[in-house]
Amino acid sequence: MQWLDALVQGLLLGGLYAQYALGMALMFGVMRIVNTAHGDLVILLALIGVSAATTFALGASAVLALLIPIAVLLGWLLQRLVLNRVLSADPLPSLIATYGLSIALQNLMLELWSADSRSLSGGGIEADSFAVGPIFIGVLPVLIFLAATVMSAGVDATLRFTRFGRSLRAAASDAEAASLTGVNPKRVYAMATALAVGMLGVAAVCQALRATVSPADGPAQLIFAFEAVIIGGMGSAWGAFLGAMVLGVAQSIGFRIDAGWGVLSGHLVFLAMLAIRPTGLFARRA
Amino acid sequence: MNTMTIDSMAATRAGSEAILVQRHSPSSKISGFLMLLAFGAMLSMPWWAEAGTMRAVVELSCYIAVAQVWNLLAGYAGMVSVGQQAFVGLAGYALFVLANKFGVDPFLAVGLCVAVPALVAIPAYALLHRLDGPYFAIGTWVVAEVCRLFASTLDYLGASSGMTLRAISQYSPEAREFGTVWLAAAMLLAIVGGSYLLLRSRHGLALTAMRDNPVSAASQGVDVKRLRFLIYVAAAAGTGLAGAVYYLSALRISPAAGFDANWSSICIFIVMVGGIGSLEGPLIGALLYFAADRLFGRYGATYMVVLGVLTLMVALFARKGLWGLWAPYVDAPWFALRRRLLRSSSLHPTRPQSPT
Amino acid sequence: MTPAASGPLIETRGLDARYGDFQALFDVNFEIAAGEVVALIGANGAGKSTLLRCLAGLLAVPPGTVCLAGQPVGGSAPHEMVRRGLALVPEGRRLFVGMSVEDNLRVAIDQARLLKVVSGADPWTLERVQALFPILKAKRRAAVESLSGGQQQMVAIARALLLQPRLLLCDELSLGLAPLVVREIYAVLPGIAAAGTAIVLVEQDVGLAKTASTRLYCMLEGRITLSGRSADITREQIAEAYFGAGHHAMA
Repeated sequence: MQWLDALVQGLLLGGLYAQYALGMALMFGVMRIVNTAHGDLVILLALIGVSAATTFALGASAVLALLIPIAVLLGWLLQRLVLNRVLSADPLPSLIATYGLSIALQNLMLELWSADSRSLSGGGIEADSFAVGPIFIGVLPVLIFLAATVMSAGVDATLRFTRFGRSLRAAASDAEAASLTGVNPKRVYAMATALAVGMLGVAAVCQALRATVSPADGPAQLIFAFEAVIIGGMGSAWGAFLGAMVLGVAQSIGFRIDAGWGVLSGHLVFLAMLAIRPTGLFARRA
Repeated sequence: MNTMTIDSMAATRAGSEAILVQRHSPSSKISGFLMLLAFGAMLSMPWWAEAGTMRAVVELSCYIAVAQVWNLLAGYAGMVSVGQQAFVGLAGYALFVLANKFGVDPFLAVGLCVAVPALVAIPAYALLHRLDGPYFAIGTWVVAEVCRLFASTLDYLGASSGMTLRAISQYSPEAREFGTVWLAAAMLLAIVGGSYLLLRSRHGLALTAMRDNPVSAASQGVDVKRLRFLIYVAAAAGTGLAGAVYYLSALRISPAAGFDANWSSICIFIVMVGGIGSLEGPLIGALLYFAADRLFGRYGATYMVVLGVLTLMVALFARKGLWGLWAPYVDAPWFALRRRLLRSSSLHPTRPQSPT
Repeated sequence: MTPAASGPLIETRGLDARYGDFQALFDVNFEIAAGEVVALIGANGAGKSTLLRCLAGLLAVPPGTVCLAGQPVGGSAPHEMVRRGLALVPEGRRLFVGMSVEDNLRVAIDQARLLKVVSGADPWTLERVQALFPILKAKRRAAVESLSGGQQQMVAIARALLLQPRLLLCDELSLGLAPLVVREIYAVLPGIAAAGTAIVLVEQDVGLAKTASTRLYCMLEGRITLSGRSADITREQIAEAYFGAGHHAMA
């Protein structure tokens, strides 16, 4: 039963990772940019949320409602001010620019919030659980998982069926041809980044409720998002979702074997995936 | 029979002129001399410098070394890595293990331990090379994290508290200073000198071609895949060497320090702000970083914010860094890397002129 | 918007264009009126595609050098030119790989609506282009990369038409296609022009260019070397303009 429990907890953990991975899949699939500050943005949003909650005595839902618009704005600004200047076939400038941004953000957060860990209070929901057979499942992880499912379905549907999704896919395929077809690539990219970071607003609340956040946590989240996207296969919302599941399960099982092996197991599964099936489980062209 | 060689064709057309390839320029001769002086000064340090100064110079040398290697990787071979700390830590730990557990002389071990990062680089590259540019970079970070996690769980390596270089106690403090400073000097010679020789050679031409346009380079016979692989492994060894010297000087290593992502931040800052894709750039950047660290390091996080923002600004607005801003206006390279074709009106043709 | 076509629909005045240090166009004066079909011929590297790119907004040029209905539009962004009623069928098709035929067309439909492109009395709809090229309906769910070259060319033309263009720029439609397919594609052009859309045809096939157009320009090394009515221009004139003075006779 310990293994079934590990599996279930792993899947639920994957729900949180999926929320990080979706935004990264969107940004890389569309713009071929990896935002090295991706994880730091989540932490920043989470810290803002925690501070707002304590200063204004807000509940988790209010924090969520507050953070999503902030996140969308952050994403839009990021694209317009930074990323639009580094869109090119050469990956170096965007990587370096976002790396510099990551360092600056981490240390800025350290200055503003100190290194203490913080978390968000959900009014008890963090402790609620229910039994399914021999296993106890937390209510919060299930909610996070459901949110991730909804978000993945939403992103997938947006890409497939909406005007915005089509123009995004067109710009990802051939930016110049898209502009000749009337698409304004920079505007479309800004909206994509706004969407990607907007989803991080949800992830920030989930992370802060489920665990603690501190300024240095960003890089770890970045790596988990990245591993999920690679395992699942690039360019696909459901790929990112399922990759996150695999990562969560790998970490969960590794943790059961030895407490120090949780994260390492995830890394090893990721490396194994690179060796065996480098295009990922659900490779699809962006 | 009217066979003409290129020599004789040139000789026939241009009179008695020969074509020369000039590598040096006045500035490179001057800077070469200055570097020789500095090198000599460094070697002589144990006789006149304080312990703190020597430690600082060794540290600066290590920064220069890792940065030059990163510059070769990213600026010439087109591979951006944010996981070079893997090789710093691997070599550092290998040094400590060889010296403490196997009784190898610590100074000798510095040379031997680079085999470890080089060997690890082989499977790492095999796994990572198919990843797209930015994903390749984060992949290198994952490899570094794997190394860090292994080091912090293995008791043989002291787990999370790390190891101290007990084996060095066989040497007196003076002997330690000599050994460390000279090893650092040798490392600089190997890495900076080695980079210079590499870029001067035809492999350097291949590298530059590969940097500018891999497809065209391949069409000209450059084996791009093989060259990339070799550079990656060599970079691992070079970074490892710098790491070994650093931790030889520090006498302590731990997973958090040896595999610290800050090593990558340092490389990136030094190379990008100094000037990527040139040998001069990382030297400038390292001096700048070192000075800034000494002057402003005590401001802690705020100082790091400024470094991060500077890196961001350079990536957005001044991609070739300081050297790239300066070089277009002042043509004074520090290294003899260019090839200038000159006609000399010397009257010594190598073969008699053919009849026209 | 002037109701009657009192001047050219689009014209260039002394257009120079550069790619970095390399100058590709020298003092090009080109014009086309509403409903005309004009051909642009010349050897590889003559500057034909560059001229189209300048018209479409892909190259930065001074505003006054390109005028649409009298308004200076040089250097505008490509999607701005689409809004003004220009559509380019790029060399090599440049379809959106990974998307279906219908999605490729829908992008154009979306953008035409979003940009509020003013269409004529009889706008191009999905049904109309499918009537023009029946393959578009048969293969509407297929991924574009699975289509043949000729079919892809049809998708590219349809995609441009769905932008409701007043001016359609076609860059080497016949490239890489079998003669039968080329004829099939060129057969629809008169109908498009009759509906009021001006067409610029860049073509390597001189005979095809002559028969398909009312006027033609010939370019050599970035300059216009010949212009006139297609029916009146002789082979000798073309040969001289195409290859430059001092060429030797060919078949």
